[in-house]
Amino acid sequence: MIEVKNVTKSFGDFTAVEDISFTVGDSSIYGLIGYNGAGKTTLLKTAAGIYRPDSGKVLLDGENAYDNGEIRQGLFYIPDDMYFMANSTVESMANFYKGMFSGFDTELFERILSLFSLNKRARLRSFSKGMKRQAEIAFALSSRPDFMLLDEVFDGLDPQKKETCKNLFLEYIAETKCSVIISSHSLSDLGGICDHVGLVNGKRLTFSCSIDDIPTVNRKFQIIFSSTVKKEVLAALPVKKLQVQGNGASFHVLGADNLKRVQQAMQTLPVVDVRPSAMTLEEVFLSEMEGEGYDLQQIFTK
Amino acid sequence: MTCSKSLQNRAPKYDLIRCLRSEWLFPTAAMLFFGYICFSDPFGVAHYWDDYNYAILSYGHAGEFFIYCLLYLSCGALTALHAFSFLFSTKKCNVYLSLPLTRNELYRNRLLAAMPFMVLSSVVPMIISFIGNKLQYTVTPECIRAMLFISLALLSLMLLGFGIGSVFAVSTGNIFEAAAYSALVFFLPAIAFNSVEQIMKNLINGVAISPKWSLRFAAYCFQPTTALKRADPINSFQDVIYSISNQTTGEKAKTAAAADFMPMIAWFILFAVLTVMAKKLLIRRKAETAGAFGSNKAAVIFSAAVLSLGAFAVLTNLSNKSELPVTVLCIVLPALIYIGLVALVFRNKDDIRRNLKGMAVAAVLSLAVIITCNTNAFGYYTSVPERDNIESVILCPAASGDFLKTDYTEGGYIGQSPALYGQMTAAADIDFVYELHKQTVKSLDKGDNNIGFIYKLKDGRIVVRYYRGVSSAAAKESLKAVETEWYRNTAYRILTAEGFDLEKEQSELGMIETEDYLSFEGAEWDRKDYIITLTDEFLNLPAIICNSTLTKGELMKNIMSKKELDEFKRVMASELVSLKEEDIFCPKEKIRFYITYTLEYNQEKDKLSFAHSYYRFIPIYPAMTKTLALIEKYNFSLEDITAEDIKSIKVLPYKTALENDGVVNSDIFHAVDKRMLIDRINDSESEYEYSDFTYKNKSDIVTYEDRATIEKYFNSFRGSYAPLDDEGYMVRFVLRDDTFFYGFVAE
Repeated sequence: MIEVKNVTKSFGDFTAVEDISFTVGDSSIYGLIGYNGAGKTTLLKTAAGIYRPDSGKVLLDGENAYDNGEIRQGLFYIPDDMYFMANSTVESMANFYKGMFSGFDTELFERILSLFSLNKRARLRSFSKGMKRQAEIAFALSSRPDFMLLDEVFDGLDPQKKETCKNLFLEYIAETKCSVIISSHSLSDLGGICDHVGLVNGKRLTFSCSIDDIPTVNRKFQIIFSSTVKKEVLAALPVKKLQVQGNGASFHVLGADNLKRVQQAMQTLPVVDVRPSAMTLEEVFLSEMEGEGYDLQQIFTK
Repeated sequence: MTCSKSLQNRAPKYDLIRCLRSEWLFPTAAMLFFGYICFSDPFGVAHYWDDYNYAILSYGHAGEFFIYCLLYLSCGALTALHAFSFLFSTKKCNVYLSLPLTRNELYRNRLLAAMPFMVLSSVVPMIISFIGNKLQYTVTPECIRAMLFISLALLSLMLLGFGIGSVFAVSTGNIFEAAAYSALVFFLPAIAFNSVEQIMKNLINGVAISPKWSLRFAAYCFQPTTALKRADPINSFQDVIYSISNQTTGEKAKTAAAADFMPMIAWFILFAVLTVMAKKLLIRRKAETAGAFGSNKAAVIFSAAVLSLGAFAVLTNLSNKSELPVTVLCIVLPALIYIGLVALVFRNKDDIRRNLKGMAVAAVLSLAVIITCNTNAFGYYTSVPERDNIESVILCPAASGDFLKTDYTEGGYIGQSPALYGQMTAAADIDFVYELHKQTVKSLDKGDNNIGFIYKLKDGRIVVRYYRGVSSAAAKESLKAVETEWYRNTAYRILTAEGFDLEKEQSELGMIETEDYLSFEGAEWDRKDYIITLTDEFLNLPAIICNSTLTKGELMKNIMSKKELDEFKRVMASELVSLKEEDIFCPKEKIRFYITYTLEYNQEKDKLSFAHSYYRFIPIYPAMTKTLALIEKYNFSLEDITAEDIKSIKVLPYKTALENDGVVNSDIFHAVDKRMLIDRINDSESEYEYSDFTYKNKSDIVTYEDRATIEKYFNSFRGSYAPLDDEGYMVRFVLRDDTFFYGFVAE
């Protein structure tokens, strides 16, 4: 189990993540979504024990990860910008991880290499970005970690390899009790693999829930009122993407608490017709990101 | 499938093995380089020195030992930078800091891996040397001790380098900064030493401590500059290594090695401290500093401050107290260098703004130093000890050059007049020096002479004052040292004392660096074509030769008996010490000739470790009538050179000569500082470059061939004169046989 408890990390005057908490259970994959620069990598590096949090802590099976060699024996971190030793081959890097991780499974490594059709004697510098990713995933899985922290791990992979890798992770997790955090700015990368998602927006975790709960606790509404309702009245509610036109209005509501509040408020308004519907992960993401985007039309207008 | 929980963590052991595979590079490079020197020298020097017991380094290489010190220091630092290079790259840092290793293990493994290679690189060259000596010479216990000393010295330096490199590797974000700060620390004592020297030299007329340019004072008091030099790791072993590198006997190795373990111990302790510090810094290190500039703010500010100080010190060379622009430059530029470096590294407005006060501090400090030095704000260097508190005093008179100096390291008169090492204790002598000191401090900035005083006070303190810019009047007064009781009792003792015990003499006078000068006794002396050895028994110590610069024709050939020689010496010595200041430094008549004796290395007796020849001169002044009579009696006198023998003269104003950088130092040294001529030069191509004045602007030299001018200059020429101001002329007298000699002619 990975427990992120009230983690705050700053770089000088800049706070990258602030008071973030969530838990990743055994045999669970937690998807960390956020736009570029939202603080996902900082959070993962803190979880990996590379950064020391300014406050809060990250516990791996109850133990602090920072500067803890024993607990990190079961941790594998795949960074966004991968590093391989100068002139190293797949085999020599595997030997490196074999030396570092007691549980490194050479047979498993060979099988994964075979699956990816990677030549173990090839030099890693000659690999494409996607091939390097595959090699890195092979190193990670072969180290048989109890915790995996994967930063943009599908970046550079073709759709087929992406699916293969997802299945590999799912298989591995099914076999072990590994806890995984995958960060990505691409929702499609996380689709079908995560059982929980968290949205990092503006250095905070603004949204965190189980994939299964997304349709039930996040709803979009289309409402027709019997008379005109002022937009300010609706804007005061915890809603996103609010649009009012005549007697009609539409908005998104994210989270169970907010949903409860909006439903209570509806009872006091002259509602004629309500059509709630389930939201997809993409819609939830876009709703949360409301206000972060640019109006592109304005960019080119003098 | 099984998971990795509860498996033993073998990462630390594997990491250590990996480090062992990679940390050999720089120690091995140092080992190969130094090992080659140690391999080649026992065989190489054997061609030249058959009488060595052992040879570890030849003199040439021992003289360059600071290079090996720097090599080992640098290789130690490079090993550290290499070992911790993963901290300089974000990518590498991500991998290493997420591995199953604690930061403590990361540091420990790199230290443990580097250690054996550093030890080997220090020991192997000496093993090679041992084998070489075994084959070529003998291996004495002293030799082994010396080798052990060198090994430990190099090891201490390499470890020190590793420690310094480690501290900066783990506290900075990139290798450039880490390397730069390490280098700065290596050279910090040298920078500080030279900066203090420069500031003292350029801004202070009288100093209470001895700067480099008056090292003769070094033995007498604590000196920050000397302490700084000793704290310089690059030079800390230079002297002792030089003395133990090649030995005909093992005595020096034994004493030197035993005496100088202190720097080595200091470096080992410092290494231990740095190791602990580096480990703590690594544990506290923020991973996000990888690859960043200016992450070690303290180091940036410190470096900027050091470079600012260095710039200030260099700029003081331009200093002229009356020139305001230069003073302003000395204040402003160091401050700008400070903030410039800070800005260059930080590249951050906030940090630059925060350090503006540092810039102000640099400017204020520069100003304070200038004001303090120029105004003698605390009256420190002009203070004169209380007369009643003076127990004894040593005087270094102005412009005395070699004449009054018995600084053996600078080739003075052995036993003649131990001006520096003799201590005046008679009340009249102390009164004389006391009044002279008071006159001196009032005469600063009124001339270009130097005078030094070393007092031993009754309360046990040693007070040293060294003044520059002393007026001619005070300088002339100081030359009256030759009329003191101390001078009469000590000067030329070697001519009269039976069995002059130089070693005893030196030990009583608190000499340092006496070793090399103790072994002259009994040496044999070369005969030169143009000088004749009178007799080997002339003195116990050196042989005596007689030079006839100012006489024509054949040189003296007569050889006196032992009795005659003793009489000659006694008369000469008694007359020499009875001379007045004016008889010596501005005689009314020309010196006719002088006695020369030579000190040389005697290979047969195997006493010295070097092979220089020293020439010493005893002028026979016109006032020494009894000596001149004896010379006459023994038919030593020859026909004197007259103005008629001079074909032409070349005249250069002395002031121009002093100002001209191109002047050959030996011209000034021999003809002016010694206040006598030395040799009549037959060979214009001689090694001494006497062929001409070597001035940049030869138009300053005027040649005369008319009899009247030649007579005027020759008749004014004395062969002995103390020029205390810029007046006078440097003259080359060319004889009709085209030989020539130089001399100073007073205005």
